[in-house]
Amino acid sequence: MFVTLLRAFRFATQSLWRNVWLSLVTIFILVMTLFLVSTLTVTQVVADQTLAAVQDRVDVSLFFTPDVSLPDVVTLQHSLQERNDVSRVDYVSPDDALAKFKERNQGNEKLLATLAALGENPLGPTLVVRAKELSDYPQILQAVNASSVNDKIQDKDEDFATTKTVIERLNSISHNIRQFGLWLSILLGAITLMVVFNTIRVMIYSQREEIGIMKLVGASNTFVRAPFMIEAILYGVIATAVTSAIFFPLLSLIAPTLNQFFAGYDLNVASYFHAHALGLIGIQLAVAVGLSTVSSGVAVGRYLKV
Amino acid sequence: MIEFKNVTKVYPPDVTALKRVSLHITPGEFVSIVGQSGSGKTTLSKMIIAEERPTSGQIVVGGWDITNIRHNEIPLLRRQIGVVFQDFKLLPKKTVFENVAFALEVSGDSREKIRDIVPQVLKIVGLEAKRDRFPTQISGGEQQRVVIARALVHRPKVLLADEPTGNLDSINAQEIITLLQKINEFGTTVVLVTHNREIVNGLKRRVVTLDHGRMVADQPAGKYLI
Repeated sequence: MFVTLLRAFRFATQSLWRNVWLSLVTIFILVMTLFLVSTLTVTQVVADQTLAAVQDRVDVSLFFTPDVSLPDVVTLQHSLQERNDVSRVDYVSPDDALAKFKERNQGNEKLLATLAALGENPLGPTLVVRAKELSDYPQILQAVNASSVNDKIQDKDEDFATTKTVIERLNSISHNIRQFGLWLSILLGAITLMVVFNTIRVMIYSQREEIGIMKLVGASNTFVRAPFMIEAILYGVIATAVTSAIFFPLLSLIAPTLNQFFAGYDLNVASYFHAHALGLIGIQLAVAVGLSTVSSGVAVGRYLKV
Repeated sequence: MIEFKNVTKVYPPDVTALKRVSLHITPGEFVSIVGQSGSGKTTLSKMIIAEERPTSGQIVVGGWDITNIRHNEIPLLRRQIGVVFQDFKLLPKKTVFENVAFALEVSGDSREKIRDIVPQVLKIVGLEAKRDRFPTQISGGEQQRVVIARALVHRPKVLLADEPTGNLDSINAQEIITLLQKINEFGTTVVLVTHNREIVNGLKRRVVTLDHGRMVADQPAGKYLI
């Protein structure tokens, strides 16, 4: 069995080498398909991670008046934390709030001088509320408005509405990219199927003499067919290797630009893909080998009568 | 060894290649199948290796009813029948040794077996000195001997030679026939399909004559009739 497999493999490599230009064209088409699939995966990951990063930045800050009692704030914090639609509630003390305020306005000398002239901290405590979903914010705010300490809240930072619009737009772009990518992948996949089909057809035709002799001297049907299937698998493996050899260095090359673009967000595209390299190569291999073997199988079934 | 029982072959729409042919070839026989072009000789030989199936009747080879042989059983049948054709069917990019070894390679035989058997059959056909030559570097007669060597590597019970001398001059043709006789003496059944009158008459062995798909004569030590 092992000897037969080795011989079928040898015949496959011989066939690939004898029609080297045809093989190269087939591999090139496969590389293009894989490159497109990989690029689309990157785009999808970037879009998803951008969405997640933007979504993660949305919160509602409840600024209390300085005279609010700490137990009232803590009560509200606990009641919000118990809600299913709330992800996190962070308490920011008046001192921390003042420190952050000063940090934010470091260049504004006039404001800092006025603050110093006041002699005391004019800021109250703050609760920073994060919802699980963007759509949860209105009902959380309703609960805040209905609470007993609502009159002690002097300001609510409700910028989630604007962010919601941005996220919806991002979602729409992401959806469109996915749709476009899907159709393009189907188109390129179909082209690949046809190219591999034609390549194997030509290989069968160019080796008809050898195939005839094989059958005449008693080669099993599996043995006659196996080299063409192995050849298709080889196309897939070579195409995956070529794509990976181009794709990952290219990704490292454009990574600084991407990272610069996403500065401030917890997003590093290059490191993400290097960490998931095996998975991505696995997908590439599955796509390439899947497409080429299916196509080869159809060609062999149709043109190689055993 | 080979038995045809009332075999008829009709090619669509209505070309009858063989009509109710009944033939029995016993083990170790040397039988010549003769007839003019279109007499049904090639159809008969194709049926022995299951390249064609009969429209009606029954074919038995070595006790195996191959009338409705399954596709996956055909390779097993062909390993029991050595086949020699007029147009040699050698691979030009392989040497004499590699061409003969090819038959064993594709059947999954081990490298040791190949190294053991191929030189033996090359010796039988007298080509051991030319094992590393390519088909284009040897004569037509030698090429046909390579084909016979390839047909012998599976140690077949039957050697089917379809016009083996068709592309050879009379001297080379006689050499091939002598080789086939030698193989027959070793116990292999030989079926020679030919329309070469001189060769058939010189053999003085059993002759089956076909004409327009019918078996018109079967002589134990016969001559070319038509």
